[in-house]
Amino acid sequence: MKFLRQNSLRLAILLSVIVISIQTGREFHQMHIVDPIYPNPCEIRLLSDYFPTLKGTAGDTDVYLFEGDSPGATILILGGTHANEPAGMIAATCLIENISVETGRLFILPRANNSGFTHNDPQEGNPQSFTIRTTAGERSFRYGSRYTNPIDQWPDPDVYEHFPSGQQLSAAETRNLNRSYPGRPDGNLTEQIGFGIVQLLQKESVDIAIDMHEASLEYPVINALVAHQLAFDLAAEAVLYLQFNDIHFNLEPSPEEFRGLSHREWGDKLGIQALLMESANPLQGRYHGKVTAETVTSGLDKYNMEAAHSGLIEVEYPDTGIPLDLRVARHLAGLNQIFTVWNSYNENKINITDLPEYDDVLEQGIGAFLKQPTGER
Amino acid sequence: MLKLMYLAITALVLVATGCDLFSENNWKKQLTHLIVLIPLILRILLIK
Amino acid sequence: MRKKIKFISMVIVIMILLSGLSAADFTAEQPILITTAGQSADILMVKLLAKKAGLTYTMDKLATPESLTEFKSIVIVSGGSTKGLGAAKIDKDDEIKRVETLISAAMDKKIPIITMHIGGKSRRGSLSDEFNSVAAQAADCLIVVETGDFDGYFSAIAEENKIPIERIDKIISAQTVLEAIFNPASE
Repeated sequence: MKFLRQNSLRLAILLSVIVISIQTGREFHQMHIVDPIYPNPCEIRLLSDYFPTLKGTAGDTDVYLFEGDSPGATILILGGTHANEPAGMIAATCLIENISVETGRLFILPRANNSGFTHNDPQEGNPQSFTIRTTAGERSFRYGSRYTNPIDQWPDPDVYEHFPSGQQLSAAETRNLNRSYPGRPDGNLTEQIGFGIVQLLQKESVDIAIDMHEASLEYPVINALVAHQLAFDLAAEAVLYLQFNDIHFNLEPSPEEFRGLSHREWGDKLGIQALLMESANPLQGRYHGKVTAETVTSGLDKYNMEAAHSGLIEVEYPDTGIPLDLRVARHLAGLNQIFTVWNSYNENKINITDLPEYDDVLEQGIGAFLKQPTGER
Repeated sequence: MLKLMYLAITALVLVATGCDLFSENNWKKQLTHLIVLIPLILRILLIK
Repeated sequence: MRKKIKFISMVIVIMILLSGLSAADFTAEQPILITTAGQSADILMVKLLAKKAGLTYTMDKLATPESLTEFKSIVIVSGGSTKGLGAAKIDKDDEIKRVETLISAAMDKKIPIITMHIGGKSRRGSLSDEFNSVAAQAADCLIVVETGDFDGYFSAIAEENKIPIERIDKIISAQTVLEAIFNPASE
């Protein structure tokens, strides 16, 4: 008892340390639990099926394959390359939980960089998750980081040198999946993930590959469809018809000198039609205020509003914000139009049923197209 | 006062190391954190 | 009698003036050189529209005066893109110089210039307007998507320089305008 009295402060400190450490450690571990997706009938594979080195690592991720009864085109859709760009992952999840394929094959990776979903970017104060209200209850989704988790890949070099071009970028980009392509089998984890995806593209003879992203409002390439030169005609016509339906996309060429990006390397290495879509995320960039679970879905940020009034951003920012519903709807509309244009020029077609329509997603919200937390419709 | 500050700073470093220990997914890294934790705990217990 | 002559002359003058401001009366011949001012990818959409309209054209994003030998008209698609400039390995100042030289050569050869701005509001701003200004002021005819003229920028250029201007609500409507310009017999 005397010992306890004499050392009460020390023991109190040690006890607090133990409690805090265990609690925060558990919270970090929660980030490693994958959010459930409730797919329509399909085959579920792993990226490690295409590159076994990834098996058991944080880089392995689910691959959802929807195959029609009739042969046709093969498409790959990527969401979650950057886990702090939720529209891509949610659009991919919407597809997985709604569609079926009649002709052709559709591969969907909703969490392309799975490791990115297990942490947040330091000093950003981002929430660890956000929720979407479904028809019965809320579903929680991880809000992650642009980069692979440093506990999975460490340390960063002082300068990231891209393989094989030797292009130099800042250190953190070594953990950016969208700078890692074409990847290499003996590289770091991010390069291995990139390599795995390229193996999938190659082995499955993918015709069109689309990478879904978001960008900050001050970024010049925004609300855009970026196309490798092999996909120029496809992209141009898709943008034309999207605009006809009052959905404005900017058409941007994939710069030939900027290496490591999906739309550049997939097209160069494999000769496929490589595309990337960017929607406008008010919670990225340097102008935004506090990021909370609410603002992730509402897309309403007062500091971006002020920046908009000062003419500092590249897109229109209405008083209602740019909600996640709108950003997801844009991605889905872009996909739909790309498939429609492809089908009009090619014998091998892709026919997908129940792909959520732009107007319906805006009217009903994405929650109406996600299954309930129990997995039911 | 100085002793309290010293305890507080050591406690903060302990918390950071402890959080890292419990969030690591690799036993070798966890062992490294444990080794760092020991002198910190001793400091808390033994500081006069 | 004098009053009557004055009145009729005024009507004739007004009719001439009005007809000069309408892009609907502007025609040009093929084959067409399609180029860009600012290297935005909007040129790809114009190429597509020209194809759909059944026109005879060549697309050359980096056209120079030497490119002009076989063409009877030029379509300049204006709008700046940093990605486009990077992809074309040309900087902003060199691109402006290229466009100005091309325009000058076209004017010397009396080749009509049709400037199209189809990128809307997103192809306006400090970068794009440097190219928009050069291409629009030199145009013999302007085709502009309305949202890109939200502040009357192109309308003001058209009025100041007496350039016929066609405002369209969607990019795809440009196909009809191009058909009317280059295939007037089919209208």
